[in-house]
Amino acid sequence: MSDVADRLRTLSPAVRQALADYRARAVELAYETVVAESPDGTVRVVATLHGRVVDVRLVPHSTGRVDRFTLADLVAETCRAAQRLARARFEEELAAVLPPEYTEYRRLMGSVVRG
Amino acid sequence: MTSGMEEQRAALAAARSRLAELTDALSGPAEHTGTDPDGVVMAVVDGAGQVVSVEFAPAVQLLPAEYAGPAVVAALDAAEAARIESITRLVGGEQR
Repeated sequence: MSDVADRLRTLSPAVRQALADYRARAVELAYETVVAESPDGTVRVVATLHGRVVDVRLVPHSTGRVDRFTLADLVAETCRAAQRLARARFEEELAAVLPPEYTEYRRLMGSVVRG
Repeated sequence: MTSGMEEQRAALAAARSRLAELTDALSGPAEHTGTDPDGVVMAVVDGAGQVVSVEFAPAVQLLPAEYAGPAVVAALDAAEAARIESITRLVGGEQR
């Protein structure tokens, strides 16, 4: 137990730094974006990695060519696709920030909490 | 002593119930609606901010496609603002 406590103490500064880096990166990711396009190319959506839709483009004349219900469904589905893509990129970017020390810290802390 | 423990249990139960309420607001079936300033697009997002649906008014078919995209973003922004307001109200309630 004392070995575990010593190791946790040793890891603590690295974990604190890792969590600070994690938070800073999470904030930065609000300024990065992903793009999703509908399969037929009618709709193009840009979303931030925080999942906010910031741009929607429709190909010229699509509002007159495609009925409004079909077009609305296509826009909604493309927005959801952009948000899914953003979520995956967000998690991927943040996972890369956390060092192996953090994984070890979580494992040891878990063993202490569970006894 | 027993009364102290009972108070603690009651406080814990209240905190759990509040947490459940906040979790529901963020991930549950809550829906928030927004409309663009011209009333051409209505958008709905869920408690987590995911797009649920988009609706175009009949007038959209008379407008150029270049107009529709920004109108969708404006409607989504309004829905997002409603979502944030609802969460802020809940969190504000917790602080009282």
